[in-house]
Amino acid sequence: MNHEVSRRTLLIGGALASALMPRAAVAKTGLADFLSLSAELIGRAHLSIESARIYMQSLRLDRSARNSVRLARRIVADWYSGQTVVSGRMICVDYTGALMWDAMGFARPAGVPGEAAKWALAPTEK
Amino acid sequence: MDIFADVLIIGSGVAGALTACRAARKGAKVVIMEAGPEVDRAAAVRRFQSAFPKTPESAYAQAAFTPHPETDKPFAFYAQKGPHPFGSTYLRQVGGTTWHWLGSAIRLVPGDFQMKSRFGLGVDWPISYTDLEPWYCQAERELEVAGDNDDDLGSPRSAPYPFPPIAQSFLDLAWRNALHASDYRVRPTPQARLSKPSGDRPSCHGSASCIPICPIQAKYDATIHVARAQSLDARLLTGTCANFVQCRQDGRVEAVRFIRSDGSTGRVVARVVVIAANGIETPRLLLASASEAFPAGVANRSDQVGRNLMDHPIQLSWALARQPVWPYRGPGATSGIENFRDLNDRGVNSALRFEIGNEGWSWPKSAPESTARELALGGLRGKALDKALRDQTSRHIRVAALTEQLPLASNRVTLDATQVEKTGLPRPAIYYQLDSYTERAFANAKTRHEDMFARVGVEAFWHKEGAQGAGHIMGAARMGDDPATSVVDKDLRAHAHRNLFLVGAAVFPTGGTANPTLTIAALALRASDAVLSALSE
Repeated sequence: MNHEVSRRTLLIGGALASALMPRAAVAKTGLADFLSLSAELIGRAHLSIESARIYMQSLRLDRSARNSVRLARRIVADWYSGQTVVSGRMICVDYTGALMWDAMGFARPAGVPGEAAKWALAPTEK
Repeated sequence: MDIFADVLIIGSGVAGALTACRAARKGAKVVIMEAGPEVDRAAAVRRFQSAFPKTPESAYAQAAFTPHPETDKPFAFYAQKGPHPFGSTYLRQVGGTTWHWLGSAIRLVPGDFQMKSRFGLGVDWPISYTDLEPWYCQAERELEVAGDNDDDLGSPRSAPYPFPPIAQSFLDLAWRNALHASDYRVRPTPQARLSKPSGDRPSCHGSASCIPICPIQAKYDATIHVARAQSLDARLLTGTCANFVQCRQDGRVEAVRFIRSDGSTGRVVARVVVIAANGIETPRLLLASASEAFPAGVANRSDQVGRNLMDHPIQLSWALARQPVWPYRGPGATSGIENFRDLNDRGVNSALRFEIGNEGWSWPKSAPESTARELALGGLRGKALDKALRDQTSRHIRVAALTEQLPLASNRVTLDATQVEKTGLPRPAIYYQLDSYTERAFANAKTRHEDMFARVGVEAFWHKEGAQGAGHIMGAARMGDDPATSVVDKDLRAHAHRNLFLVGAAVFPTGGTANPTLTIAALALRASDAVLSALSE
């Protein structure tokens, strides 16, 4: 099932959870692992390295995300919303690149012009 | 250093820009003094997109010299002194708050001008709807308002809208169809956004970011008239904050002192001075200009400057519809329910204007981001997450009831002399409370909203507790015939200062329920004739 965390993901997540511990893995290796895990969790290969760096850094600082399941969910939440939490405060990382827009399929990020009067119609199926 | 002008206009929002344009067109030497900077539109769009939270101010940098209030930090800018924090905000920059207004260009209804004589509440305006109607028409032409000529929404018209209506959203039509057999009449909202191209401005392309910024300027903002005024040789001073209105013993304004963001100072000596700030900054400047001759501040012999501060306190409600309505598209609002704005029970129950939002739950819940996080943190991912996200966000609806807040002398702007800004102006202190009339309006609005939701068909609904600021800052320098109880006359001339005019929503004696910008524009255009006449005095 999609909402279950696969064994492989748990293994990667467990390793990453360790890697995210302070003074653990080298940052470069951590980022590669993080991208790999992110790709596995969200099913996409092409991810922004810049965003990944910020999401990973915020996870390093979040003690509540050290559990593998919670870590996985948090990674998915960050990529989909384009936001993450730093020092208890939500920040925007990549609004226009957030995966939620693709998932919704009928709306664009605010501030991106579309077609005149298209809002009067039901969206066409993707 | 002195700068000389025929007309000095302080503030470059819609009221100041229209007045400047009109005076410059008549050949007057005009200086526009703006405390804030010019805005780079593209940079502002990027700032908004990278902001959290996405408040109305999120597109605009805070300036150390001229800070502005922020929706999510109600105690940061204002010194809040009352039981309810004042939640409405404004911008200090070229174009003023038209940068982040929604664009709804609605007229008051005739009854809004007669609250005292019709309902025994508040005061009457010194002018009638009929007096202002031709100026509404002119304001609609200047702001290129798009509207539906088939329905005057209770405000009789002598001229058609200059532009055809903006298309109602799919979501609006779902509401309209669901409410068809009820008392709620869902109507297209007149809007100052282009329904077809005009000049070098494109028509609205549904960027869904009217608040805080239209990326393509399809929505009107006052920089349009600032630029026109400049093309007519008006001089724009940016980063230049008026901090003292200097009057002679006889009341005539002699000059206005200013300070620039670099610390330099000077004066503008003008034959006529127009203060076109807003409901906070106008009384702030007048009160800060106290002198031996005018110890309570300029234009304040009546002690009315700063009093009767009003907003349209909003009851915000949202729901999860049973069927998809496809929000998060198009202008922020394209329809409203206008037929509760002038019922016969206004003596007891506030008028209500219902605004149907196209932006889903972004106002109450910061969605769709919050929905995406909630679903993902709940354990969904992959196709299940995509499906749930589309399913839920496609059904997000919200409605906002704008209520009429009565003028209360105790709701007022004063100065907090313990905190002085770099401009030399003391921090504005606000005493603000909501009375039983407003509390009853909220209860009525909740009942109405629940009735609407039941007819639309929803799985669940929620009400925001507490008033939401509408951003409609009115009163605080009201107009009237009696100098003992008002600040300016019906031409917006200060009673005790022949060459001083105040334009903007600060002069509203009462607020009705219409978004105020079109009325601000109409009053400013009307006052422009008196401003020009004053040049010959």
